[in-house]
Amino acid sequence: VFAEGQKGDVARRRVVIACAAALTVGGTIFGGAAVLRYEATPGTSAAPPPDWPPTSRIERRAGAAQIVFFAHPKCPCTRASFAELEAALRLADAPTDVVFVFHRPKDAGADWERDATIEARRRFPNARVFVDVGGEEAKLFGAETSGHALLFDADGRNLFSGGVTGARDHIGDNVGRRALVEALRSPPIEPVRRVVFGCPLFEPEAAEGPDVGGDGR
Amino acid sequence: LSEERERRVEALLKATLDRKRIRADRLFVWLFIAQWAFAILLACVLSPFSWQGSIRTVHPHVELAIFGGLVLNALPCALIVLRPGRRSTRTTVAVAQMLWSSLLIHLTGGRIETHFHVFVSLVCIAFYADWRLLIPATFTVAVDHFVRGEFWPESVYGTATPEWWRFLEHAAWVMFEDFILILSCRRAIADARAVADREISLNEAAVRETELKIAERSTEIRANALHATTEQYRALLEATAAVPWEFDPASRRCVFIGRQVERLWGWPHERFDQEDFLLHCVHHGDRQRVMAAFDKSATSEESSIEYLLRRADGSFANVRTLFTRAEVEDGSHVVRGVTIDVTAQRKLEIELRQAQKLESVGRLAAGIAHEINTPIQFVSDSVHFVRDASQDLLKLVDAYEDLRRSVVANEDARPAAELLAKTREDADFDYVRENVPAALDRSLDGLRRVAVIVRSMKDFSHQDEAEMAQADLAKAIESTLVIARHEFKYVADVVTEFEPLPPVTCHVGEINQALLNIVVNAAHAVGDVVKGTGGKGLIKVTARRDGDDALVTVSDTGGGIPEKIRDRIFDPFFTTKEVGKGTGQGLAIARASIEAKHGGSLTLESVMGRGTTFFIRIPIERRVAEPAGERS
Repeated sequence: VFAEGQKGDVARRRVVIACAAALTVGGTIFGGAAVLRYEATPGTSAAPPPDWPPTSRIERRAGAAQIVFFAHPKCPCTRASFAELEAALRLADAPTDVVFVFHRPKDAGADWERDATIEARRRFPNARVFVDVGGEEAKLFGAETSGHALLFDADGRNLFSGGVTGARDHIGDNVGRRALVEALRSPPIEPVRRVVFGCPLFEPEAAEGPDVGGDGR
Repeated sequence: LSEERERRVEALLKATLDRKRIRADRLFVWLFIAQWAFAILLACVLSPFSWQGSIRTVHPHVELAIFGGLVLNALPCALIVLRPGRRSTRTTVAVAQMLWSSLLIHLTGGRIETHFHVFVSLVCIAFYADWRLLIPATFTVAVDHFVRGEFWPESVYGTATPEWWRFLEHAAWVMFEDFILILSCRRAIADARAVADREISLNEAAVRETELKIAERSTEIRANALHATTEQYRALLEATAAVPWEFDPASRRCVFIGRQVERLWGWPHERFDQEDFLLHCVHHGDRQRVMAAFDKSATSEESSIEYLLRRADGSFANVRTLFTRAEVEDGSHVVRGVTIDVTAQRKLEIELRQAQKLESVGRLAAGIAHEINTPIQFVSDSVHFVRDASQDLLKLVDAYEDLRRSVVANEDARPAAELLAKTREDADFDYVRENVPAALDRSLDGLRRVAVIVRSMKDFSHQDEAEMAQADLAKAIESTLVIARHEFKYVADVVTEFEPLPPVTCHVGEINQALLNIVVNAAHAVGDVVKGTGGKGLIKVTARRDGDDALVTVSDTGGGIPEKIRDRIFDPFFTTKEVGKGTGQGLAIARASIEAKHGGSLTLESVMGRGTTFFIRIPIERRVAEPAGERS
């Protein structure tokens, strides 16, 4: 089948090769661009609360910096966010309480919580898992995209809000993670905001709140 | 030669590399398919869906894996299938493979470990053993790095703010691998070249070996053919009665002799290996002659000699040997020849000659009978006369007796005397006294003439002795003329002029036969001329010494021999006479005898209308190289 000359005449072969070349070259350029666009397009976020929302049912541990990490348990992109969060905590080397808030749609069954990602987070040191049924807490904290991390200092003041990855499902050093590390090491005067890369926590019609965006990069 | 070899090595190397590269092409097809499947699997496992709250949709990574894989595989796979082994194909493959690295890195979320795919891909590309491919591959990586490093550095360098030398660091690692792989490719090509070189050498060795085998086989075939030919020659040589041999005069041995020597003469052929055995077999009387002939014969000149060869049973065979002296490689000489048993031939020749003689005698018989008849006639007349005379004389004697008795008885003697006188008168005594001695003389003369003819015939018909003997040539000519007298006496007068000649060593019978043939021919020639004229021609026979030879000439006054047949008259069975008058053998036999046997010559001079002279030249002493003649 590989033998030259067995695939019809030269012209037919040229056509096949030309088509394949067009597909490869065009596909590479346009597909590559589309992929980059997809991965580099951040999700939406609402304005984070300047302080720990008092109505939140998430317990705030006094006297310690606290990270609230919103995640969609099924979102594959969030794996990278978890990894980067861990990296940031390791880099900052500061005692921090972490609460993983997993979104659970209202209509989702109990088996929604029987998820490997949630179970993995439960085993995370100094971490708690909170299942946010219906996205109530997310709305309180202004989180709309999976992978959204919020840092509060021991007084409940918001220091950081945003994602810790440079693209969807993309690990590696990035401005979000760096900002979080900086915030952990030395609390900024003004809260830092970064864009979040991940799956939306809410269905399209349920998404609300302003798209704050951020400097992104 | 070395250029040609180099060309062959290069051709073989190219063929090897082409095969290797087509194999690599095929490998890449499977690799592309495997990568595609892996990418889809990876996407399905790692990020099957993207979610919006509770709504899930197929994750773009899955689509990316499916369509991106298709896009990346389309061109290289098409080229591999349609144009395997080409550089453009493998260049495309190299570029696509490097893009696969980017795709897989994306699908794994930029895991640093997935970057190893770049290095593995470079190694895979090195399977092509074409270091040039590393350039587009590296270039692709560089472009990918540059573009993404420029716009999205963390996806390349793992940091959002890479140092300025990060690009160089990455490039250095890739270059380092490229360097190693280039060395590896070059090494692989060098190895392939060495293998090709070795293969060519082995091929050459194999070709040489094959050629050697072919040469050996040809030699074998040639040797077999030679053997067959030799056997054929041997069979051919030994099938005949001609015995080939080679004699080395230095060692006086036969180097070679045909095996038929055993069949023909009873000698085992190995015995001729012994010194002097060949000469031992030669009759002692011929030995000196044979040795001298072998020693003296000129190189490359064929000579022949006849001699007697002793058979194993002690009898002798007449053999004729044709031989040449040849110079062999070391400068010495050998004598090579064939020996033919001519015993039967000699016997036949003798019988033929004898028959020829008898035929001559038979042919001349009438004439000879006439020659004998004439003297017999007058002898008979004379004897009759003497007989009658003797009866008258006896009567006369009786008359004398009666007279004596009358006288003794003292009777009357007169009647007795008268009777005596009458008887004497009746007997014609005086006539008788006068003529009886003459009649007796005539008878004696006639008887002498008859005796001469008979003796001549006897001499003529006499079978020759084996050896030549000394003979009185004049006497021989005389007796031949006696035999032939009747042939010429009515047409020619014969004049003989004989100068004193020493005895000539010859087979006189054969000389007689030759002379007879010539004289009879002369008589016929003269006869043809004088026929009807009543005149007579002349036949002149002379004999004299000419140096070491005896020269006999026979001249006639016949019509001469036409120029155009002069060369043919000595040919056997050539004759111009009418049927029954000649067989055409006479002159042929005459020349054969005189030249071959006696070493002499028989020539002629002829003038048309004047006559012909034959010259018979015979050596007085027998010469060494002359054949011994038949003795069996």
